[in-house]
Amino acid sequence: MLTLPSFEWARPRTVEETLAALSDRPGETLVVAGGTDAVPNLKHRLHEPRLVVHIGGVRELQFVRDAEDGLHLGALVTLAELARHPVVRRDFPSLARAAGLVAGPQLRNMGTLGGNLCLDTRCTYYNQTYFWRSALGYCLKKDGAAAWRRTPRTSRRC
Amino acid sequence: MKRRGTPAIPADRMMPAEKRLIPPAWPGGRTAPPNREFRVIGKRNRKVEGLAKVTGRAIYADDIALPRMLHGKLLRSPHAHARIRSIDVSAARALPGVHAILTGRDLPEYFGIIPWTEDEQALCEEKARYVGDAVAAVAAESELIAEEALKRIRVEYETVPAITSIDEALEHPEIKVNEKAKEGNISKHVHLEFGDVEAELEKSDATIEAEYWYEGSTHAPIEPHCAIGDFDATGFLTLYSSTQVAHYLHRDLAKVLGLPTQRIRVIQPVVGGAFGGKSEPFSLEFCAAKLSMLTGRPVKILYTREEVFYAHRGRHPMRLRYRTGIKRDGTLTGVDAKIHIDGGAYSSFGLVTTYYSGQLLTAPYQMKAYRFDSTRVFTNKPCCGPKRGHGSVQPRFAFECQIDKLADAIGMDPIEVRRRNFLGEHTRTVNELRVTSNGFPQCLEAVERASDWKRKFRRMPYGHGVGVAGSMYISGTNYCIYPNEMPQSGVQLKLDRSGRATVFCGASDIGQGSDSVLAYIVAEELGLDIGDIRVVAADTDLTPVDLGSYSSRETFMVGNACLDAARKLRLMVAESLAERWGCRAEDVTLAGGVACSTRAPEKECMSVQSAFQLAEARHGTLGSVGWYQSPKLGGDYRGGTIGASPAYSFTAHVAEVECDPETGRVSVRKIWVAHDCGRALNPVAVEGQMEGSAYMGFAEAIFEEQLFKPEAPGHGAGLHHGPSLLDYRIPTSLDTPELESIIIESVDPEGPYGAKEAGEGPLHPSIPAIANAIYDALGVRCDRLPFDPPRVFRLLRSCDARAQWERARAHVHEAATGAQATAERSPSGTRAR
Ligand SMILES: Cc1cc2nc3c(=O)[nH]c(=O)nc-3n(C[C@H](O)[C@H](O)[C@H](O)COP(=O)(O)OP(=O)(O)OC[C@H]3O[C@@H](n4cnc5c(N)ncnc54)[C@H](O)[C@@H]3O)c2cc1C
Repeated sequence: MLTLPSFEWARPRTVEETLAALSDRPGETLVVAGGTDAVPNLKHRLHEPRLVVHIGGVRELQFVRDAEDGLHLGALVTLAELARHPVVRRDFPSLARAAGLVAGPQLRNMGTLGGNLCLDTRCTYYNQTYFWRSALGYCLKKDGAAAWRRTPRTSRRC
Repeated sequence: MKRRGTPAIPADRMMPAEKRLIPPAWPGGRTAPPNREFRVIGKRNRKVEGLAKVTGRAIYADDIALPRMLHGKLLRSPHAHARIRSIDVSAARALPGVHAILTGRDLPEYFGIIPWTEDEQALCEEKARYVGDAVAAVAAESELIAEEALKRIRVEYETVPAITSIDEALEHPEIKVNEKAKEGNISKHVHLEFGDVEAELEKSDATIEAEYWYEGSTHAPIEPHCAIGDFDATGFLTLYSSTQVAHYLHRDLAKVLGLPTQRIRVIQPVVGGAFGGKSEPFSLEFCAAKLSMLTGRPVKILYTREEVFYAHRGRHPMRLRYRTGIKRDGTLTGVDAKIHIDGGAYSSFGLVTTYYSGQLLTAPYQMKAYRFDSTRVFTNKPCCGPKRGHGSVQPRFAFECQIDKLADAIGMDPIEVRRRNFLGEHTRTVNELRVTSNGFPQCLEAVERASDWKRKFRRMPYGHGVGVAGSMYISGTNYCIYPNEMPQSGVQLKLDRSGRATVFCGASDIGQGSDSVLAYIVAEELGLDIGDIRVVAADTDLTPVDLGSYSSRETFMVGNACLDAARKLRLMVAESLAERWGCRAEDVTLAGGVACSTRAPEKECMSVQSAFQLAEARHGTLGSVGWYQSPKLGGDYRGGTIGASPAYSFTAHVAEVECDPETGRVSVRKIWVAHDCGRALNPVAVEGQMEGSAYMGFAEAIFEEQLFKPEAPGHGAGLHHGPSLLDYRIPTSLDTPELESIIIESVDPEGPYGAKEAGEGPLHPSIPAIANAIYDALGVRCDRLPFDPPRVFRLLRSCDARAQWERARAHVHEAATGAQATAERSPSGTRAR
């Protein structure tokens, strides 16, 4: 199995605690919400943080609020909630539809809106295992000097 | 011992002909029910292991955790082709928690599934031959430590230019991928000719010559390979492995590890899919065992999904050129094939693949003359091997498209062409394969009717189409992979006063249902409930040898062995009852938990449990053995036994597609699958295999592509495009078309109750049926896989598709209205005379 690297683990309950945890080790910290993107990336050694801050338990970020000035969505709203929320479906049907089309039901149950917006999925050269990237000769975005892109004819720069 | 071609048994180990094993003949033959009618066979029963799987109780290899177990990891080459100058493991060994490290020198013995082509080492000693080839192994306290240790192993490589295509392999014999190749990069070459092909082609009214490309694909089983080696203080090795060939693994472990076979036990836990991808030994099995021998602790190695892509042994890419002729009345004349096969870095089953690419084409159609010339080459890519429908899916695709083109050229319905060339039953093919039962015409008729073919073919609006294809496949190979005259399958059956039966058999259930088949047969013969039978399988200490789950042999061969054992035991029970009741043993019925005489069933009757007790008192402890050995078959020429099978299955598909002429996107709406499996021992299980096969063929037709990156600054050629299930796309249930399975039962005289295979045959026609349907829909011929939007779009742009489409319709309609069929110049560059 692909292993996770070793790291320390914080589970804040409030936004305040979260900010405190994040400022603890700037530059060596990774936020994880649903983990559908962050966990594979950890396994691929794209991130090697000293501290992982799991924000899944921060209640304050789990809301859908219909207000005068528009719809407010918390970062921890899951894609499944977004897809089935009556107000989102009524007022922003394309958003609800898009959320409902992402991946499969399990991933939509875990995946959050915040995570979707801050996603670190880039391309088939980057989102690969450490071994595969070493065989590629690495890439500018992680561990390497050259940048790759998909078109083979102009393969060197992206 | 002959060195190549037909495996021959050394003369000093041959039994005199008159003493050879001949399967026993049972009264009424193998096909008849033991009582007047079937009680279990043919009924829609559950698979015996199903509930354990869906409730999470089944124990897979990775579920096994032994006390003090270490974890192993393999270091893999980042280069497609590189000499290994040196390996320095000192830094890795110094890491706390690391217990042992192996390199190629620790396991130098060569192995390979085919005894004539042993060209692999557990770890590369001198040279790595593809990106991902294993070069070192570590055992450590945890996977994480083992991984850390791998990073500290220093390998000095000297890269060599990589050969990544068939043409490069042929053009550069001086760059040798595999040193065991006798000549350049040729893995195997076979040239066979039956009849006078040129003379037959001369007689044709139309000939078609075309080249096809079959892209490689991989099995993608849900469960990655996993093995646990456990070497104990007495010098005894137990290896648990997710294999589908425990017996062959057992032999190769002994060879590579230098242990006597009687000191090795191989156990196959529940396997989560294999499809041919686990039908030979792999690096992890040898390394887990050796690391356990060095450390005295159990060692587990579990492949990552990426490593499963490197272990591969999937479908060979093939370039196939066919020249085929037809007469105006629809009779096929000569068939000429030239085939190039991309084998990857090692031989695997390649010798057989190369023969199969030609040998298995000769039914269900009559051929007047046939020639094939097949060459398998080595390239610096993961090794190809047997994937469901081994060796014959690719040529079948090409040939069934050829038939479609020929039908088009003479203006005849392609189902009619297939019907007219039907080979027949109880006959021989042009290459001397013995064919017995053959339900192919019924298969054709079934899909023709179910799909409403006559109303659809060449009659639907542009973008909509139907296509047909047929095929045949083996029910097991007639000969073992290594020459010997012992049974191909053995069963031991235990029965006692508890009323419970236990079947012991080396058979390997990989999800296809061989455990269930064993249970159904025992239940039928002894009158037991399926739940009263335990199946103990694929454990070399406990079970008699069965060769394993490959070439669709289990139902046929294991089934026959089990029938043999069960009937022997049934006879003992029946005789005891006959003695008690003063009737004949034939008059005793064992069914539904009750034993009775047919003469006076009300009076002369008892539970089967009481009957077993009576038999135990009469005969002593109850048990029996059964076995199966196929008859000697095959053509009298070198390689003539390869492709010989005691029975062949037959399939026909009709596929219906809807294509978008703007984008080239092909949606397969439905596939009708009719398959002659002899007799369906359990129709649900057969339908499952038919659907699974059709699905897998559809996946190869539309989705799958095993691609490698070309050379670029930073890396050489031969890096897998994306070894994950995110980048390598297999269809999900949402992508899968509607599938309709129609079972055809020809009742084979030699199969258990008449059964033949159903696990691989129904895959074959999927691909050509879809290709032919695309022609019906769009007027373009898809001769290259997969039929994805870019390819179909390019085809649409490269010709006047619409005009070709109209011409094809006109042809068939003319023929239908009795007009003279005209064989004019046919579409897509094919020639007609
Ligand atoms: C198979 C598959 C298919 C997919 N298909 C699609 C698709 O079709 N369209 C699409 O748009 N997406 C797609 N996705 C992406 C999916 O939407 C995201 O994986 C998911 O929304 C991420 O949410 P998460 O909570 O799991 O994020 P995580 O994995 O926890 O985090 C993802 C990233 O965002 C950061 N992050 C998360 N939350 C916050 C926050 N509150 N503040 C700051 N940073 C944060 C993390 O540090 C991390 O870098 C797919 C993903 C998968 C696995």
